Amino acid sequence: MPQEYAKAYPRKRFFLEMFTRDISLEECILDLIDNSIDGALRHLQIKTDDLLQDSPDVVDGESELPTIIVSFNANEFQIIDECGGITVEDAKEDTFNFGHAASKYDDATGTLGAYGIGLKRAIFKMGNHFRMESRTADEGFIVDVDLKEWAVNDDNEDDWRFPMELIGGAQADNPAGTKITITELSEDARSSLSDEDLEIGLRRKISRTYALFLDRYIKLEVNGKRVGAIDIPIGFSNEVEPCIEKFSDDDVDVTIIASLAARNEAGNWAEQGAGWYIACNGRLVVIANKTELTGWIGKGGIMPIFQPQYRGFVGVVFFQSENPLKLPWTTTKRSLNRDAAIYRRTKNRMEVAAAPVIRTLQKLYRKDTEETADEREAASKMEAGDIKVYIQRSPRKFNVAKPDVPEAETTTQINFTVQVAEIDRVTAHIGRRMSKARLGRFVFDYYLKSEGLANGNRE
Amino acid sequence: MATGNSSRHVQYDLRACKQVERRMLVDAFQRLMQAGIPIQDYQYTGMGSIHFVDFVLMHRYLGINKMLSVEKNVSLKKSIEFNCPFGCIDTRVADIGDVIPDLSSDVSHILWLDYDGVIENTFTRDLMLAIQQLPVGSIVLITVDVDPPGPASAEPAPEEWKSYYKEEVGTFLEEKLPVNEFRRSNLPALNTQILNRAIKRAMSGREHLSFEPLFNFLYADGHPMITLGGMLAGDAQQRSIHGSSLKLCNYFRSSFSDSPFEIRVPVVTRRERLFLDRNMPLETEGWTPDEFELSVEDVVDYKSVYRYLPIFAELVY
Repeated sequence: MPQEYAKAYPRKRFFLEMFTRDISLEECILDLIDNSIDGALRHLQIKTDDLLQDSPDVVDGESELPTIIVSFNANEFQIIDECGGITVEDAKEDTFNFGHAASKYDDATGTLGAYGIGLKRAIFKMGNHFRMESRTADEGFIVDVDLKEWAVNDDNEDDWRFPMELIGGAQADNPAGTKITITELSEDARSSLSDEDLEIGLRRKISRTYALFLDRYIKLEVNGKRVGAIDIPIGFSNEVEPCIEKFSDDDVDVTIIASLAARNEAGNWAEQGAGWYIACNGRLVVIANKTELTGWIGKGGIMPIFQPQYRGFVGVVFFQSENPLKLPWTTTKRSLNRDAAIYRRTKNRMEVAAAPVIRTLQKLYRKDTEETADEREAASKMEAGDIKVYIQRSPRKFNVAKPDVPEAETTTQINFTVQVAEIDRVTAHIGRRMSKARLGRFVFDYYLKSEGLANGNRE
Repeated sequence: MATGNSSRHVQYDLRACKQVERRMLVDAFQRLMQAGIPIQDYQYTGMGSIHFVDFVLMHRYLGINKMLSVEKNVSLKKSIEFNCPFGCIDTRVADIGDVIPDLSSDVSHILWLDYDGVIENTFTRDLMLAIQQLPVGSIVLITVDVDPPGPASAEPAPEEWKSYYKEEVGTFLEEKLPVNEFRRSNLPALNTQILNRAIKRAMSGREHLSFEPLFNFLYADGHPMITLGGMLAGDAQQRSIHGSSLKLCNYFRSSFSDSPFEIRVPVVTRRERLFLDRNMPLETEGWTPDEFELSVEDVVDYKSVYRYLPIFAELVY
């Protein structure tokens, strides 16, 4: 009997319609920006090890930074970068495949692009017609495809190719870089891209996610407006030594920095920017986190539940690896994969690094939970600066030079819950109204006095 | 609890059980040193107060000369410095939780969290911090009071004790525990379970190491106390522990699920001791002296601790 076969081919229709559903338009745009940034880093020859350490030497002067220009409206989406372009070889063998070939993983200069689907998914999601024009120093190509026509033939491998036109390399008026234009937008894309909220949200997302790249390695614009980075508000002071820890774990280099926050313009610590920041190959996946995701769990853990008194805390974790698959991020690279073993091990050490900073903040609030003179003084000394400075320093323990503060507590706080009816009964019994704090103090003092325990008496 | 004549069991002035515990720990560390673990190079951090008894033992019998004594009570600052027995002991008036992050990662540590009160959430927090932070080879010990929480004169109230435990360390307890679990006689086992869970939770972030139990003591000089201890061990340390003579000791515990080693020191006079010692180590079960009254249980207790009891009132300072 001749061997029978059941077809198990990938169908174009699936890729055009189905696999774009689980990702948002905004995320697709970020994927395209990832590719441009990867290009810029390759072009500037910055390896993952050197990320954030080398930037002053690599690029002199702001005007030299490679640009990425994103623009869109109801009819068209375009991203133009001057990040070095894609080689013809890559375009032929890899760029348009779904996923990377095995050999590509081996020599990954691995930064942000990991799975090899960002480009295709973005194009397929947004529209029916795309044109990609790319030039390196020596060569260039154009790929211009109408996806409806392309979808018609789906019977063999050759049908899955895109025709390419070769063009010349970079010139003065056409610098090395890549330009992607998507037209004949899908209905969803058309309505999203004309929504002002999307533009605002996108700018915000970019300024957060790429905070460590913007104006350091690239310049980025959305619809004509420059996008600046958010600050990681870690503080600098002659009197404070941050905690810096560095270690390697399974091909991933990890750096943990924990210290007091920088003061804002008003000279205070702002709660919004406090907490943990986590970056994978420079891309921020966790920003100003104050939840149990980064260890703020209170009883049963080492770090407390976040309260305003901890707004002076900023911690930053950098995960860097040449193999982006080893990093603890989710497949969309938007958030942390909290179950990743490497994150669990690192979280351990984050808690240890945070402990002395938390203690210092607790001591500043000994008297009450509002800002005290101590805290204002400490905050006012912490200047804003570039996190890059700390990344370059050697490992050390957290230390605040403040020898005149006694270390051991002489006072503490008591908190407990009571029924309102009970308070009313007690207040009625005492015969005068007083604040809850004073009432608590009154009751405590009453016991001390009636048992002969007040200061100066012995039991 | 042991049976027998109560005049043999109440010994308030000397804290004999605590001293036996210390001597057993020193004995254990000596055996580990023989097995190749360089205890003499460790740093010893404890809560010496003004007596420093454990510090003297660690320095004299193990040769440890990096030591740190931590005391929370600010009003004892001068007394502590005055009473510090050796120049190689640093003293610090601070909460132990503030000191742990400052412990150097360049040496291994013996850290004894020798709390004198009933368990609080800060105890488990400090324990977890130590376990998450200290380098491989370090030994962590924790002692807590396992009397019921609350004033001593209060009526037995397991429901109140349960709500205290839920409040302080509820995260280490199962959801629906019957009140019976909080009866006085079960508190040692309950506390062991809580501390063991805290250790496991802290170890979950240290995947290439294990926490090897070494000690689980139960004793009462006044309040009943438990001490759990173990080592942060990699493969080399595990081999050393299991190859050492520590495994032969009656006080060694390789698992916290096993019943604890109970330290009970019967009160015997000097003459009685000399007589008993002539019959040690005791081979015959059920033997009691004819010359004076001592119960079978008291003889058994004596046998389990006699080598670690100070023979005369030992001046340790």
